[in-house]
Amino acid sequence: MRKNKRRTALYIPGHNPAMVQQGGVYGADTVLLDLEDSVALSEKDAARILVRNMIKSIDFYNTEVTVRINHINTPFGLTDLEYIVPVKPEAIRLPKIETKSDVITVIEIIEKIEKKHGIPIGNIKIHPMIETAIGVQNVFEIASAHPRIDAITIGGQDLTADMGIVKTKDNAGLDYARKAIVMAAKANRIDALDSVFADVNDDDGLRIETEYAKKIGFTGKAVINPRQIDIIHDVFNPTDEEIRVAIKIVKAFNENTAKGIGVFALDGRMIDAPVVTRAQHILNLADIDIDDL
Amino acid sequence: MNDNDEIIKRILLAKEKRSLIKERIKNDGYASLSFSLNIPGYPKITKDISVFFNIVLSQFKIFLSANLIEITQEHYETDESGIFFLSSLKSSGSSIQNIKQLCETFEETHELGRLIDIDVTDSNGNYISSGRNKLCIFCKSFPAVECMRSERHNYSKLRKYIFEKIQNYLLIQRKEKVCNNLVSFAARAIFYEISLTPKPGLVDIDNSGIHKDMDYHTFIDSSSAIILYFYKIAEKGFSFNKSLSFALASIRETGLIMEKEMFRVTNGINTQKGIIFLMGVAVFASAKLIADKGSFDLEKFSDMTMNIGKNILNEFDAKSLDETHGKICVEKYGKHIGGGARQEVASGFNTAIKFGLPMLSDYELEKINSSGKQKVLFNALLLLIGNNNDTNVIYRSSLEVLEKLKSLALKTFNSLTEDDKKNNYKIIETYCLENNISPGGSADLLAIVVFLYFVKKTYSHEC
Repeated sequence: MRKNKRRTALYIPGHNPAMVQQGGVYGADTVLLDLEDSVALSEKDAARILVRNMIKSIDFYNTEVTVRINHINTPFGLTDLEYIVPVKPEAIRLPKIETKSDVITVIEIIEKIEKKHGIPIGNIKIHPMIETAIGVQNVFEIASAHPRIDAITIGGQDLTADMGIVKTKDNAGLDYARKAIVMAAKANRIDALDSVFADVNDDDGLRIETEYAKKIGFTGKAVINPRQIDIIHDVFNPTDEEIRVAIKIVKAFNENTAKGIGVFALDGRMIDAPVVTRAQHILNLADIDIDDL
Repeated sequence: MNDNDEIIKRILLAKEKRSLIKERIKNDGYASLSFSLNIPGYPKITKDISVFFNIVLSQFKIFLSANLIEITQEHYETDESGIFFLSSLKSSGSSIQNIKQLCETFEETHELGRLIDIDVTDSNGNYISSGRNKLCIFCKSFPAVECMRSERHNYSKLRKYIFEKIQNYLLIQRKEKVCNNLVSFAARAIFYEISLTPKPGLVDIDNSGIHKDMDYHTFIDSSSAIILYFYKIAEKGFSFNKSLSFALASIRETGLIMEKEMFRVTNGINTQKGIIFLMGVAVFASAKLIADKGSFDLEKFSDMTMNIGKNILNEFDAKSLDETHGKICVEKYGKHIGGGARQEVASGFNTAIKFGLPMLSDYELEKINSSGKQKVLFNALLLLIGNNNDTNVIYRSSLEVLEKLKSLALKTFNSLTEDDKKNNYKIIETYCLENNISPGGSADLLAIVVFLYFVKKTYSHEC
């Protein structure tokens, strides 16, 4: 079973065969095959066909495969779903979600398509994107709209435009939105994914922004260029010290659970369920299975 | 031998070739008719000259047909002495003398007739002369032949003068063609939209929706009354050279006359105020774009209409503004609700271009039959209703009703099967009738979408 890691989601324009084909080799945790903004109107059909065929035939080497479709109120959304759902990507990303009913509408369509093709219902996860002020205001409702939703993401560029502000390096204008989105994700125990960092030549800027994203609770970040992957992984990866402590905690927890003890002390620190969950998450990120140790 | 001698030699060779063709026709026992241009100096052919030649030649052929003169064995040559058309004359009801006279009439009545040279030769190879001499195009005082032989005028001055005349003529021709096309696209668009059946709450061929005071023929009447005025608007757009901030008033001048005409033929019923305004701006901007840039491009069109509509939203504060649905809604809910014809122009036709047009782009509309067209247009209309804050709806109801209508339209659009689509559509239809609403603004946008589809198709790659 693959460990649930989503430190990076690499955007790949859906009409670019070379990039789609290479999607799995860059080492991102998720490939994000895009049918929406990176694809020109005239290329929509070609992109849809290419992405469908590639998902069917290409090995993405354990990378999670996500497709961003066009919004359901555009001419392309429904056709995207009719093409993409049957090839069962692990998740579908939905742009510009503003209300709970926006998500439910799409999920209902997906279920109809699943039934039509005899696909098990509910396996394809849904990742709503919050890209407008209204979406931010409704984010908790959106995040908890349906069990399929296991991550929620922010679309920084569109959100600044919708708010009528200029995007600054420190992202001051987006701070409230980012924290609101993280909080909604945490409240629903799902992932919170940060927006892209647009300047692919500014490694220091990328690192600073990613460190901040991690600090406020994001679990991963979208990427527009493979060069950005290593820096983001580096930030999200646990340190040796964190791993050491986590192993200790999980081991102690397993031993105590076997004895029927729920809460216990370790190195003078009270250990309860949330601490264990966090420790387990660190081990996941480090690809460590406690049973192998 | 210097360059000049070389040129003269080549011109003589070309003339020789022409004589041989004439000779051949004579030997076959036919009279012949030749058509060429009098272009002094060298080179005899430029891009403008060949375009001009082809236009006038096709006018001349039509003129011959209209006068029941039949030609066969057409030769079309481009060589050192210019472009040259020669054909044999089938026997016709007219005598050869008569044909010569008709050709002279053509030359005399054409505005650049002095540049045209039509010769008629009888079946023995003799030139038919009417004994009249054409006056020189430049000085208009002496016979052209005299000025030419005595080289009375400076060649380069003469050529400059002639080329300017040709250029102006081509511009006027192009303008007429563009304006004709734009009016026919506007007409097509408006009639496509009216004829789309079914439409929820709106007038279609089958019923009048919620509108008790109008039906399908009311729209045919008012469309017919306004349609030709779009030619005027296209002409204005084509020749407009002031700042775009003056464009709106210029469009409105014609628009207000159109509204008057509409009210006159419908006995005071507002059938098409919205489309008069929207189509007026779209036709004007398309014409200006094609005139300025030589081709049509959606992004430039969008920018231009945005500039035309720069101050349009401030007009809501004007006291003198007559009551439109858009204005009433803005007073009730504020400018930010969008929707309405003014907001659509201010946004550079964003709703039409983003949601409606892509629905048509996949199709060759000209090649599909009526029911196919209806299907495509129906889907485009659903998508427009689903994305447009239609002030026709809001002013009769509320924002809540509008939102509900939008979501019903999107649901219908996104139906997976035709049966679902039919059932979902029935729900919309009932909803419109129960709430006494009709998405007329979205229907107007559909007409704009059809118009843009044809303009884009025709003028995307023109140079």
